[in-house]
Amino acid sequence: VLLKAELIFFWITVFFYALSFCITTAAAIFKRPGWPRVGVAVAGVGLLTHTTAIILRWIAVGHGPYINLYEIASSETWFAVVTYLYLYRKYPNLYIVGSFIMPVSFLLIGFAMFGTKNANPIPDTFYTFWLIVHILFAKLAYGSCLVGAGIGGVYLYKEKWPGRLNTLPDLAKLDHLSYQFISFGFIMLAIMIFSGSIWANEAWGRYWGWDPIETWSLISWLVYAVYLHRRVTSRWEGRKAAWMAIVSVLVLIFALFGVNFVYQSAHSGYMKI
Amino acid sequence: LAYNLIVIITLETVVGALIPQAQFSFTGYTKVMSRFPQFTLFLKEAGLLPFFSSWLFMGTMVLFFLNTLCCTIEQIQKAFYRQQGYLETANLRDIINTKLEGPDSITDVMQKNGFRVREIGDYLFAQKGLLGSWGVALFHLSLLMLILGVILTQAMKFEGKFIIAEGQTWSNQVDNYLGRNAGPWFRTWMRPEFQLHLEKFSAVYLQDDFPQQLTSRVNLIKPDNTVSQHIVQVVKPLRYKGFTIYQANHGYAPELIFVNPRGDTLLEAVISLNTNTNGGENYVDEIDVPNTGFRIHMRFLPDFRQDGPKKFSSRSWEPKNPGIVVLVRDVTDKILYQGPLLLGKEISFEGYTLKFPAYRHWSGFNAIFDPGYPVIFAGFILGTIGLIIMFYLDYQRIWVWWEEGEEGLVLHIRGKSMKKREEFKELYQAIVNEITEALDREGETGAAES
Repeated sequence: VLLKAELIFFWITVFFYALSFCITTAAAIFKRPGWPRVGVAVAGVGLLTHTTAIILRWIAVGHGPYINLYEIASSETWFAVVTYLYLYRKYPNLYIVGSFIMPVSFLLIGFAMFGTKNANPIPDTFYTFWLIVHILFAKLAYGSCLVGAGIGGVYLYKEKWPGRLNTLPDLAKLDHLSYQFISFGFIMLAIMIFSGSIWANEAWGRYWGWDPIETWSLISWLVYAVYLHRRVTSRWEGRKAAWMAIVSVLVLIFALFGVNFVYQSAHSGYMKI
Repeated sequence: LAYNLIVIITLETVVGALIPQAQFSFTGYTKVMSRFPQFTLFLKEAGLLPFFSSWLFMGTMVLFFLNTLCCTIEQIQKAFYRQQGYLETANLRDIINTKLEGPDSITDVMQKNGFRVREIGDYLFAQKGLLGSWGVALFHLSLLMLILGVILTQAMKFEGKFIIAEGQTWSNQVDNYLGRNAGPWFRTWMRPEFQLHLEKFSAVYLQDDFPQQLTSRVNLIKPDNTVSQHIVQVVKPLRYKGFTIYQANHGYAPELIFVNPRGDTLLEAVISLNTNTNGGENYVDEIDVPNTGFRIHMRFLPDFRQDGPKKFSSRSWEPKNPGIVVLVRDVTDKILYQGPLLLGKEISFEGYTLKFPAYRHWSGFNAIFDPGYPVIFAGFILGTIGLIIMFYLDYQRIWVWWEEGEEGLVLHIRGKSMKKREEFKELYQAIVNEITEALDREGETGAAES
């Protein structure tokens, strides 16, 4: 019963996120002053139903949302939406970032719906403190890097059409905000890789095995390292940085969700599709 | 160079992720590679397989190490200099005409704004958030530690596999390992003396799935014969003198008794059967019976079921109804007996008797000695601290000095901050205004210039 209820809440969430995307995008196109708030409020309602779905599943299966792709995609999306709402709270003019976050979110969880929703048993290797650290920081990294890329997208939009969306912060502020979210995501990503490595050592006696997920996580971290290094040492700002933020998040999304479709890895056993 | 090296390492890692490695299989990719045998052969002959230990990747890492080493030395030097006050290219500059060289009012203004002030030669140096100047240096140092840790692991890591059946004792001797792998710098004196006695093994069986949550209750017997009891589980290894014992796998060890027609016991043994985790047949082994030329091939079925006249299987992984499928041959390979033998039963053929009175679990362990891991762990911690300092602690500095001008003295003010530049600019401007006002009050300034 709980799992059925969870599924209903899940579909409602997908609906609200899609609706939020439509409203925030329409608000930007038609320049209606009240609409952004409605769009974000709808995202907030979606977050509530999403939270309910996650809690129901947690109770039903007896563990947090981290065993299969369905659970992981759901929880990572939850963090991304929370990060977006935090951004809106601090910078209401940036509601338009939702036009980037929401479609990624509802597409990702919609896609995850096609995977197995069975309650998989917890593997031996999950009975460790490092699991919490690893998973929590993966979600924080995903949320902040996605929002950083969203702001990068807004930067490019504003640069291309400076006359539109006049309420947005200026380009320098957008650029700096994107950098702030990405630098935070970079640290989270580093801690995710570090803790995963320590966890692997606790479980198997090796901290690095060039497993595909390890390798692609490292690649995504290196891509962000390239961006940040260039930015700090050579003032790589503006358009280049915005494009880099978007490209980097695509690499990260592949590392987190795509690798298991292509490779067999140590994570494949429980990242069941 | 650092930037170029990071880009090259990124690209090489992508290449390494695309080329099939020993560590993982790439679904469908092996097929693709088999379509390009020339390319695969080229990679092999060029020494690029496995890629992550190839000359290309290792060479790049050596260059990266050298570059990081130079950068680290430079960054640590800078951080030390900054503790003393260090002149850098400033972001912000101002000039105030003054009549008197008097640092007191300036010191007051700086201190009021949270700066630590010191006089160094002709300069008055004000700094805030000095810890922030260490972020880059610490992060670079952590990279060096990570590389050093990897080198130590590659050179000195020892890894050995062994199994112990319940009630048996295993001694940490090189020959007692079923398989072992050691780096070139590993020496036998690094291996501590100890014995391990397996008291009890248990597993939790989830539905009909493979056993989960493997738990071994072991006694660690040290050279002075002191004994300590420990629980070893998959993520709860046992550590002793640099060696870490990991729970790896498990299997079954049936007790078999072989009796000849005169009633003499020819064999009484606990036989630890192989567990094949790679999809092959589980719990299978073959033994020789001493002085008979007989060979017994056996397959243990934890939950025995007879599917047909000569067909047997196990209903689950859980030992609910243990049985062995036995095949006994003589020295000419003639089959003497073929059929099941259930727990507590016996079979007879040609006057011989084979008994299966009991079975035990065996527990498989990996013993690992890796002096690189503590260095890696410390590198991780240092790296995280370095990153947090780098991105979140702002090191701000303002320095002033006086020079002779055409109309008296000129006060030069310089400021620099790597982060929160807008906020710092406001703070800097406020400080310049305060200094001007303070000097004005004392009647010691001319017109201020920016």
